[in-house]
Amino acid sequence: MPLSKNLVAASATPIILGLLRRGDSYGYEIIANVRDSSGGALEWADGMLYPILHRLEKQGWVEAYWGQSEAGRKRKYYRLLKAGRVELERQRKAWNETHALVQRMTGRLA
Amino acid sequence: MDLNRAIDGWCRKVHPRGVQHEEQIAELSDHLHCEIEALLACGHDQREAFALATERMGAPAELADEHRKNGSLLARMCRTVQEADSALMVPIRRHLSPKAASAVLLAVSLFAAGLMLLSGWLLPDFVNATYLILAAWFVPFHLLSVRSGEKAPTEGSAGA
Repeated sequence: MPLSKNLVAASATPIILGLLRRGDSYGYEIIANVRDSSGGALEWADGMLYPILHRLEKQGWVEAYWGQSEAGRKRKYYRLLKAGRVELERQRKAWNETHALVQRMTGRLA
Repeated sequence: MDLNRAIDGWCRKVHPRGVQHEEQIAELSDHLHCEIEALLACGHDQREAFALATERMGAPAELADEHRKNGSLLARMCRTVQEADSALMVPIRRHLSPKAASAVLLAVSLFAAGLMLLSGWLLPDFVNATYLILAAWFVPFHLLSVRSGEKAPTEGSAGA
C-alpha cells in the first residue's frame, strides 16, 4: 500500500541514514535501494532526495566526498558520520515508540 | 538529440545560478545519466529515456524550491529580490516608454535613499536602522516575488 506524503516525508531521514549505515552510497543507488526494499510503497520523486541529503550534510550527520562512476563521471558519495548514527538510533526509537503507541491506541479490546 | 546538453540544460533549470551550484549540477547530472542508461538498456530510445528520467526527477521549479530551503537567509533574500526585480521589470518594460520606465526606477531609488535617511534620523542606533531598511526593502520585494510565483505556469507535481 503506498504511504501518504506526510509519512513518506517523515520517514525519509531515518531511511537514508539507515541505508548509509550499510555503507557509503550515492543518490541514484539510494533511490534504487529504497524502491527495491519498500516494494514500491515508498514513491519518491527522485530529485527530492538531494535537498534532503544536503540537509543531512549540513546537520553534520553525513559527509560527502567526490568519486568517479564506472563511466568516468564525477559522482558524489555520502558517508554516515558518528552523529548520524546517534541520530538514526534516536529516530529509530521514536518510530518504535510511535508504532507501539498506535498499536495500543487502535488495537481491539480483548 | 544531444543528450549531454539536454541533461545539463535540465539540471540548470533546478540550479539556475551556475557557478556556486556546479557541484549540485554534477550530482543531478550523474543521477540522470544513470537513470537514462538504465532506461536505454530496457529498450527505450534516447528521447523517451530522457523524458521518463526527468519526469521521475520531479518538476524543476519544485526541486529548486526545495534546494532553496537549504540556503542561508542571505542567499534566500538575494534570490527573492532577484525574482521580484524581474517581476517588477517585465511589466515596466512592456507597458512603459523608456523615459517613463527610467522615471519609475528613479522614484524607486529615491524611495530607497529616503528610507535610509529616515531610518538614520528615526533610529540612530545602527543595528535597528539596518533591520528597518532590510524589512522595508525586503517585504515589498517578497510580496512581488510571491505574486510573480503565483502567475508563473506550473510544471506539474513532483510527487512526494
